[in-house]
Parts: sequence; structure tokens; C-alpha cells
Amino acid sequence: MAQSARKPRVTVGANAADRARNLATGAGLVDDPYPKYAELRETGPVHEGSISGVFDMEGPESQGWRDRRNFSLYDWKTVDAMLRDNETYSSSWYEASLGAVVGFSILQMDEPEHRRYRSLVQPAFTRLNIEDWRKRWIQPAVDAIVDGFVERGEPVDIYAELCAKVPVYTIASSFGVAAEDVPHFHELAVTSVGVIGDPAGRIRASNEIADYLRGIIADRRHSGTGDLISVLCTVEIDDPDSGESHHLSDDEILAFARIMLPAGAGTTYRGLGCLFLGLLETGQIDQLREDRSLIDAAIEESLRWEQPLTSISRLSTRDSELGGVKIPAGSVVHGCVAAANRDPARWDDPDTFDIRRPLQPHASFGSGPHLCIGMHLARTEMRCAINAVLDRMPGLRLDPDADKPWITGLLFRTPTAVPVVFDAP
Amino acid sequence: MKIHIDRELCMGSGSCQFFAPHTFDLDAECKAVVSNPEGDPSTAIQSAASSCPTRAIELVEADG
Repeated sequence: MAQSARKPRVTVGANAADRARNLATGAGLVDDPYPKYAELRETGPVHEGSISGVFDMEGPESQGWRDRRNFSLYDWKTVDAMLRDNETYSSSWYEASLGAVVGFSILQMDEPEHRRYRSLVQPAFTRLNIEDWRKRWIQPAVDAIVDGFVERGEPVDIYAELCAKVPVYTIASSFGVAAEDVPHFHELAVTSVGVIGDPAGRIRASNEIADYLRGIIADRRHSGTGDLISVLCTVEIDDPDSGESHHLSDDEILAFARIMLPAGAGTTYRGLGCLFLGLLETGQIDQLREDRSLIDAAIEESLRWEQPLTSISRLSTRDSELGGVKIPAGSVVHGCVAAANRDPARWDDPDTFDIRRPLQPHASFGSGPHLCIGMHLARTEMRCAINAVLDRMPGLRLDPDADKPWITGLLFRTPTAVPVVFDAP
Repeated sequence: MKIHIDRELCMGSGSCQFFAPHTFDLDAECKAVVSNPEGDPSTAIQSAASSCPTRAIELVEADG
């Protein structure tokens, strides 16, 4: 395979499984994919082959679908149109990857089933309810994590010490995982997610999470606490065949709960790291110090500029055409959201990170009916983390004595580190 | 500008509410409703409508 011949400049990740996954998705091998994306957009915007394939790598995104034709898309209009047309481009692509690890979840459902299941939990993820999450779980998790290093007053890598922890610690506490079990739960979450690596190891970690969560489900069935698992224990789903409704089974609840972990252990922490690095490298963090109302715009701009996940894949269910290219039924189609997010037809000077850019929707949470259900949660976690850093780490700046960090990766974008120093509070 | 929301299409993602929080709200059934048609600048309302994952929001320019 092509990548084994190339030596990475750096290896990054929370543990061995995470490092292996990052390497397989191009971390340390591809630092700046954007000039190539621009070329592919201009000469396409649709090309035959997977995204890894056009970078001469054997990436994981066609794993499980090796016998299929692959196509990849590189402009805003085509990527957005493809993701919105979920009848032609099916989410069953996930069957071969995450589906095998977390079970049959809304991630891989198509309509009308997807809508029936998603609507059960959608109310738990509104902005109003996420404010409740913030008070109960996000803020206490962020405060406890920052307590862990700020008192030392020493240089610290906030990518490892803060960003990597906030999302999983939040989800774990919302599930009712005991505080002393959270670090182990984090390790299991990181190991279980992703689309590469030893499947047996991933499934083992996922099973251990399931065993833990089954205990919590049994408890919540007995008495709810208003958390997500309690909600899942109470809701009833309509059966379109019998016309009757029933409570979710333990396996259905587990699939919902476990799909939350890739979201935290695989995406939000990268986004948070890129946000801090962008703000610190460009000095735009000073603008946030003076005006905290810019924080939401800074988060959106960071998500546009360096999105954690650079592509979203689907299986085509029928013959179609995208960007003038015929896509036969049964093909694997990869929408490159990272290229869409820098389409100059939509954004002026798209390669520049500018928190004062006029706000308009980006594709980092996807588009269409599978738009990320946790987007308000992710934004709130990021906002809490920035506020905590601005409140408690005065004079925050990149550590001049540390190796200069950078953002790397092809299918995921991830900072190598975010080493900082700050003044004594 | 008139704002029309198709309740059948609306899936309650709250994307509109993020881009135009003073214009859109979610009701008890987790469906988008207009709280104030002039609550945000028109660019924000357009972003809200274009971000809708199911194209449930239609904007009609008032004639005149």
C-alpha cells in the first residue's frame, strides 16, 4: 500500500489506536491538502476515485466497498446537493465501518426509518436543552479538566490536556459514568471508534462500553434522571406495520448511545484544537479577549477553515449525474466537505482564517437530513472551553520554546499539539 | 419578507434558530416557528433558510 512506503513527519493521537487511525487517514503524511483540493475543484468538480486515492494513499473510506467504483466531489454546490439527496445517496455506506462497531444506528439509516428514529432524540439536542447540558455536564467537566493543569502554572499542551478530554468527559458524565471511570471510558471510546485498525480490538472496546452502559440503562429504566439515556428509556417508537408503538430495546438504546462516542472521541476535540491553534497563531485571540460576543463567529469560522472530518461518504442507490459525471447505481460517493468549505465561489479569500468573516453555513456538520444532531452540543462545548481558557489562563500564547505545531491529515484534520504558556492568574 | 415553514418537512434540527435566533424558535413539538419575521438582519434569515437540512423554510420577498 502506498502509505507504508511514506514516512510520517509526526505521529499524533491520544493512544496507540488513535495514532494508528490518524496515520491511516493521512496525519503526518498530508499536511496541506488544500492546493490539491483547489486543483481537483477546478478540473472537476467530480473525479473518479476516492479522496485518498487521488492522494496516492489507500485510505479507509472505500474499505468494505472495494469492488465498487468510487467518485469524489470537490465544490460546494455538488457536495451540498449530494448530501441533501438522501434517496439517491444512501447512508448505508456506514454499514461496513461504524455500523460494525456501534450497531445499527441513525447514522446508517435511510428515510423514512431515519426520521422516525431521529425524531425521538432530536428534542434532547435543541439549543434550549443543550443549555441544560451546559449547566449539568459541560461546564463542570471543563472546570474540572482546567483545574487539573492551571494551578501548576507551567507550559501545557492544551490539545492533549483540554481539547481531547472535553467531549468524551461531557458525554460520559451525561451517561452517568462515575468520575473515577471516566479516564478508562475515554480510552475505550478512542479505541472503539474509527474506520480502521484491528476490528477485533475495536469491537472488544465497544463491547466493554456496552456492558457498562447496559447497567446504566437498567438503572434508568427503573428511575430516570433526565439525561439522554433516561430520555431513550422513556420514548416510544411507532411501528408503521402494526400501527402500535413500543419502547426502545436495550440494543436500540445502545446504538444511539454508542454513536455519541465517535462524535466526541473522533471529531469535536480536533475542531477545538484547530480553533485554539488558529486563534493563537494569528493573534485573533486578542479580539476575543476584548469582545466575547465574537466567540460564536470564531467557532464557525474555525469549523469552516479546518473541519475535523474532511469528507462524508454515501452509496448511490440508482444511476445519477453529479457535476456532469455519470454516477452508476452502486457506486461509493465521497463529498469532500473540506474542499466545499474553501470554494472561492462561496467564500472570498477562502484559505484565510478570519473570525470577522460574514457568517454563512459551512458543510462541516454535513448537510441534508443527516445534519449532525450534536452540532449545538459541539458548539457549546467549544464555547465553554474558550471561555474557561480566557477566564483562567491570562496572557495565553503559544509556547515559544516548544516545537512549532501545525495542522495535519487528509480525512481528519488534527493539530500536532497546542503548546501554550500563560501568566500566573 | 414573508417566511413560510413547512411543518411536515421540518425535522427540528434548530439550524435556523442558530443563524437567526431572534427570528426562529422551536415549539413544543420541536418544529420551527417564526417568533419575529424581522428579528434578525435579512442576510441572517437567508442563512437560516439556506442551512435548513430539509428545505422547509421558504422566503418570499414582499412585493412593492
